[in-house]
Amino acid sequence: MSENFLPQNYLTCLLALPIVFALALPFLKPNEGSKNIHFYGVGASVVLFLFSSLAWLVTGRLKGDGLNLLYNSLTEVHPWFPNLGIHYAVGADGLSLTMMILTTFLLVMASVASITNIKKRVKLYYGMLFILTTAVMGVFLARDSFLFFLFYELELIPMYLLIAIWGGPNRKYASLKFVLYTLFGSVFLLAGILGLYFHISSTGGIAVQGQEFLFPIIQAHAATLAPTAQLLIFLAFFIGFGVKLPMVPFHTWLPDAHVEAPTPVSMLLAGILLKMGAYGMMRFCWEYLPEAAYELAPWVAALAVINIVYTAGVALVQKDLKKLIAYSSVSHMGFVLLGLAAMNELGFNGAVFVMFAHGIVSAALFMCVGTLYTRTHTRMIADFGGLGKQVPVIFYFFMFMSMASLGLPLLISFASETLVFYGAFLSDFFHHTIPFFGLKLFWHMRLATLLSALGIIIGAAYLLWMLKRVFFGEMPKKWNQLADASRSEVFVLATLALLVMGYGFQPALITHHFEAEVSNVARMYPMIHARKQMEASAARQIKGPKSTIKQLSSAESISGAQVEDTVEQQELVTYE
Amino acid sequence: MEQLTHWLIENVWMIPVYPLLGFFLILLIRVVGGVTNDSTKKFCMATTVLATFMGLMHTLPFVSQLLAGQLQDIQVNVPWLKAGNFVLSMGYLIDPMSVMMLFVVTFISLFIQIYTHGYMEKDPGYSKFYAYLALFNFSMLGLVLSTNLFQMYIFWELVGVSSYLLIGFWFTRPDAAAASVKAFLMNRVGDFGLLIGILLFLFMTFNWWMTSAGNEVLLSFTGMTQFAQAAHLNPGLLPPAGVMTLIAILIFMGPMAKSAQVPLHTWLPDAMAGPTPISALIHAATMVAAGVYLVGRVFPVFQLSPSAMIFVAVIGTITAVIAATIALTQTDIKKALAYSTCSQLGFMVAAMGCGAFAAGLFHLFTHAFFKAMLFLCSGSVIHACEDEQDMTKMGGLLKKLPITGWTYLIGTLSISGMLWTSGFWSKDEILVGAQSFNMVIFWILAITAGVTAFYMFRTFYMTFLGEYRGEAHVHHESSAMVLPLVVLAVPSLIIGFLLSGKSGLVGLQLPSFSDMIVLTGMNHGHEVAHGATHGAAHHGPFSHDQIGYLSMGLGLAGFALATLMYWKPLNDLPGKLRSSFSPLYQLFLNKWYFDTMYGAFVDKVYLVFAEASARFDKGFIDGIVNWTGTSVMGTGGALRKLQTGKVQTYVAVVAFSVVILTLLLMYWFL
Repeated sequence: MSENFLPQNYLTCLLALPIVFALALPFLKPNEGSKNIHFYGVGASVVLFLFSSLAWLVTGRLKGDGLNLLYNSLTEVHPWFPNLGIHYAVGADGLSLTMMILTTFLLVMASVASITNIKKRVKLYYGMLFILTTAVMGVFLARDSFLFFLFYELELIPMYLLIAIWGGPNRKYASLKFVLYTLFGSVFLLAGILGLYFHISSTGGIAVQGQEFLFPIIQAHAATLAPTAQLLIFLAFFIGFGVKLPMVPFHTWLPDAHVEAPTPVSMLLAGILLKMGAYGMMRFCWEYLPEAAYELAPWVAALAVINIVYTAGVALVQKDLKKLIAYSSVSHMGFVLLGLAAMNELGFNGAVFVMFAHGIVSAALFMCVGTLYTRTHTRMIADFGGLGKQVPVIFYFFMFMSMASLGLPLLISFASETLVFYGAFLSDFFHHTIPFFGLKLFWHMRLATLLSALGIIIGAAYLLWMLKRVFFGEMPKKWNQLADASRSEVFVLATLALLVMGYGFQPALITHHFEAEVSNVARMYPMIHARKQMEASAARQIKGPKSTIKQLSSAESISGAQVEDTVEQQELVTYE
Repeated sequence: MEQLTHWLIENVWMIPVYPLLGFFLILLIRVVGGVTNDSTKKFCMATTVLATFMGLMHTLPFVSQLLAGQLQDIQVNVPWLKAGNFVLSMGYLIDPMSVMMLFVVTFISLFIQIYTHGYMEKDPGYSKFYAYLALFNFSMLGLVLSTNLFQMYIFWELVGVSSYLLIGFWFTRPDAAAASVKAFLMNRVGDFGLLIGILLFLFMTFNWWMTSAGNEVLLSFTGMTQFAQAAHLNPGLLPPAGVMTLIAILIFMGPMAKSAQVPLHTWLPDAMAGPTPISALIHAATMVAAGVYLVGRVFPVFQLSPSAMIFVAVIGTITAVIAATIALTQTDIKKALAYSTCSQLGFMVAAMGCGAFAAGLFHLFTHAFFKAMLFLCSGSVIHACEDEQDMTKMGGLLKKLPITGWTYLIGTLSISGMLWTSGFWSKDEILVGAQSFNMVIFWILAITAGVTAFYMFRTFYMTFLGEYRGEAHVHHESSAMVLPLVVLAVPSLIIGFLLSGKSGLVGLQLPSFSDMIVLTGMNHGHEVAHGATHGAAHHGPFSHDQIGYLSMGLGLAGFALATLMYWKPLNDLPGKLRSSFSPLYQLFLNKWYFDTMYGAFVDKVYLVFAEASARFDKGFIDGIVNWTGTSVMGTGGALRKLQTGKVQTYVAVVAFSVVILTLLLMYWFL
């Protein structure tokens, strides 16, 4: 297939398509039970998915130069506010396309799930869903940091309304918390983007004038930042995206939002909205600011461990089924952080793979919880029990998805987490000894991996314990009228299950879409490492003789002048 | 015939694929068909049995090659997961060890599946059971054929999940539900160690894999053997001794959980809550032996650390003793057998630790037959007594269930190592290996062998002799259940002798087990190879024959004691012993308090910690968030009061601000 297969403005069409679908909605007249609206919503999302999968199919077949040519031909740059340097710029690469296909695919799943879950104001609902899709895809496809920020903020409005209108009893609190929290993150994000802008416009010279927001320019110029400035901008991005990821301690909006959100919205929230944080982090922090990432890797690894182990522990004692799944979702996003902290090919590939796998599995788990909730109107684990006999289809899907989530081999999460574990363990970029009340604490990636791997035990514990309490044992009498999964629910769960199995059996089907680009990012790090090592050893060489000199001078065998001579010579040697 | 054999050998990779296809086929039937009538049930059964049968057919040509000493090793790998230059592969490996294991798994599986038809006929989950069995067979056969440690980890976890599904098969029963979760979690603890062990080994030897072993697949068993050999010649390749020991012990955590070694053993007895065919297949013959198989596979790496070998030997010995003592007190027939499995696995592991590699695998081999048969016998008894498992409510069943009774006796003789039955030969080899390693371990194992005879005859007497003490009406044996018993009785009796190296006595020219099962990729005559295959044989105070007489003598002592106490209980001897050794009896009865300790740890430590985390999350972290929210609102409310609209206030504020600002500016600039 040639690289001209896709139209020039393919990505713009892709972004515009959901808006068009949304704009058509007011002209539809809902019939009994709004069935036609649901039909339209599902149909439109299928069309969108098919349209977006064109790029997926084409890029899946190409390699090397052909692929780069295609990506170049897909890129679109138009000046928007020229005197501010803002462009409408969209483009794609393996990472963006993987996230994009996940978005459109989960949109289809969420639309089908909406049939049984959404009963009121269906037109508005689908409108919001489509605007949300445009915003999220925009985040993944934007190639201008200002545009990126706009899409990132645009996503808030539909999501706020989706929770605030169709949510549960405590929806006002949850939606407000969601919005305020994300805005809090956005402040940092904006600070980071502006920081980069001012740096580039002040040092980039005439060549970059008016293009300061463009990604390639950022990539080329971010490295010239002073180390401290890099660290500060990195931290701004890291906190900004960390809220979305979510990263402990900025995670408490998520359980509340999930608990109140209707099932399809939960699926999208866990499946793709969190990926915006992970994607942004990968893009801005690890691709554009590698030196800061290198410096801060020990801290990121520590946060990853906390994310994985601490939230898994919290999940274990949740009494609310949906909260349990929400915390497990947070826990698994910790693997993204761990993979990023590894800073090697395995780790980065693993991080992206985890994003994808988590998107599928957590969406499926929320779907499972949703099917139970629509029937029983309770989410309290204690209210359930012994449902396995009554609703076997839901039971088996729930069990299957739990198995996928706890990392059962040959299912999707296992392959992704394997990459992360192997990557993290084999990564050897830092090794610290931290004094701690007279003890020496070691901190390196092996230890971080070891601690994170505790997550596979706790993860199995909370999921299996939950399954046991919900489905095993004797059933309370009140549930003996419960109906098993409906056809649309089975469709959603079975489709997700097929993906979980398919990509689990053959992970190359997914990894080859992003492996080249992601591995490229990783290749920067050994160079940075080598340079830092050289600098460090140079510093040691200067320092080293001084200490011996001290001993010598204390023995008074060499005069002070001679000592200074030696030091100067030493410095000359190292700077030559 | 020639062509058929050729085809079977060429397509050996199909062995695990058949049951997988069978599993999906049954799934499809259940999804599409919905209702399960008799014919679909039969079809599900036939699918699974056929899949296993085909596996056996593929195995047999290799078995005959192996016996003739002409087995050609086959190794095929395909990349499975890669990133950059890093490739993890899957494939299949045919070598003596895998052929032996393939035979055990397919052969025993086949007959247990036939038996299952009789046992589960009335169960509503009949076809689901066969689906799970097929899934288990896929996982187990994949594990056996693994070429590398990573692949083995994959199937290692998959057999774990099959075991979880099958233990929890009757998930409405609380004990089954609890046991399934426990089994999975305890195995996860082992898998955690295994994973970290694999990673640490890879980290420490990464350069070696990337350079000298360029043609070897990452973590492959043949590569590991080569590494071990290279490290013997060039110790510079080795990580520091402490790290090497750590690697071996971490890897060994996997087998500790899967093969139910102390202290990760408590899931196995609980797992008896599953249907009895499962106890026979998974929790006696095949899956639990996978741990020993794994140790055998990575044996050269274990040998690189003498301390780790001691650790393995000690853990195995402790398990053998503790489990045997608990088995003394059990009245549930399946629990008694489960502890006996645990104890026998301890023997195998101890043999591995003593360096008697072939002896451990030999015992795995013979044990698989007689223990599977013993469990099937117990299943037959339980089935006949209408789901009664308590031996105090049995007795005198030999008359009602003659075939079951006699085959159970054969199994008992074999596990007690008496009268040249299969168990005699393999246990003998283990003791030979142990004596060349350490005399303390030797004596403990030898005496435990005597204890084994005692508790096994105890179960036999309580179940089959004396008067019937139960209320249930005893049914007769069904043919589907009797046939496997008879078939399995044959290898339980003679297979040990045939492979003992003494088959020449009856005119057969079969190789001995230890000559047959050698490590693949090992240069023969090399020091490691020698130690690995022959366990540094024949030195120690006793000759091989003396050890044979000794172990049989101890077995006879156990038998005699059991006969004395349980054949015709004289003056309630067991009761008297129980009261005079009360503390010891309580210790054994309460399973050395392992479960109590774990329960306390989870309830009093981990759950408390998790609760505290949850409270911290809700109260502190979210508390700060909500406090920020409310205080911002509060500030907003307060600030609103400032906008009073009164010009005087504004002027006052402005004037005040100007003064403050001026002062500040003066402070900074002057």
